[in-house]
Amino acid sequence: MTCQDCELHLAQLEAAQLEAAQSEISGEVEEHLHQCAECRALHEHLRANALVLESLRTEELPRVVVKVPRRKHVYPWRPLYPWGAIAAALFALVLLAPRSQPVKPVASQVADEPAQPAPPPMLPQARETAKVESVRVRPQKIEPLKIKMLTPDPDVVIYWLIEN
Amino acid sequence: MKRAFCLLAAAGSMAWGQAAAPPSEPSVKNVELTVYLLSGVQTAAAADDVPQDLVSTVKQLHSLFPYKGYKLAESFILRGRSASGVQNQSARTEGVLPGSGLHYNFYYNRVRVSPEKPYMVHIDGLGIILTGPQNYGPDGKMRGNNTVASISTDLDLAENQKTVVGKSSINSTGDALILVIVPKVIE
Repeated sequence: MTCQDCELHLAQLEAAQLEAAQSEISGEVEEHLHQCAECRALHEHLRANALVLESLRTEELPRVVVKVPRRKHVYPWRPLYPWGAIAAALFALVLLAPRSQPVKPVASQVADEPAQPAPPPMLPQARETAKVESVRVRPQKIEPLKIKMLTPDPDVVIYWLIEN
Repeated sequence: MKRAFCLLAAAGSMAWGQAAAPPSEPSVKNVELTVYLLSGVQTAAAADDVPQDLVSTVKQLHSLFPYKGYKLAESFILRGRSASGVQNQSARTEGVLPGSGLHYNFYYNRVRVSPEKPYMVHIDGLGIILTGPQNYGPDGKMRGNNTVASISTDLDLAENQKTVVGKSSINSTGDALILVIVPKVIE
């Protein structure tokens, strides 16, 4: 194995998993690293970089608030909106307007209806009879309260009068 | 000939039946009212002074009312006829109560008697008025109302039953005016 093959193989291992690469080192690469000092130094360097990158992966980044300017929408039909509303209103008026029908002459309508007799006007005599006649009412005599009392003697019945 | 005889017999029997039918008007009866006029006295020294016929009645009065004694003021019999239909057969009697000088006027407008026995007597417009001496002014005209006490009512009475009609507080001492009426139908 040449150094170039070893570097390629080490780069591929570092691109993969570190532990997997560690396990894959054994064999021809480990034998080459044992013999070649430069490849061994490269391997150590790559391994150190991998460890540093692994530690950075778990580092929490500070929250950054990014203000993005809102995009202004462009409505090319906006100037035509009032005209559209006016046109819709006119269309609605045309639709809701009463259809023109042939109108009968007024005189014929009156002639077709049966004539209803008008209520007779109240005569002065009727008004006079409608008045409530005043009736002189005599004050009624208030009857006393009569209480009937039955006694143990069947031949004696008592009525007692109580003036109201 | 036979048919004509049957018709005559039928007409004759009909005429005889109509003549023999009793009139539909109710029979008029004589009604005799025995009236006792009593006074219920509040004074403590009062004692009963009534005839034997009224002892049982006064006993019932004592059980119901707080009067110390009952005294007979007057008794009389008023006889009249029962009325038929709407006609009035009024009757009245009057007199002076002995001892008090009060004048009484007893009357009724109408008496009706039930057609079946036992007879029930209905009296319309029964009344009694006790009046005192009349006061006269210097001009000779009567002054004021001298009525001491009065009773006016309608009554339903059973024949021979003692019916008591009373009224309390007829004077300042709180005495009572009591009528005991016993009707009797005379056929």
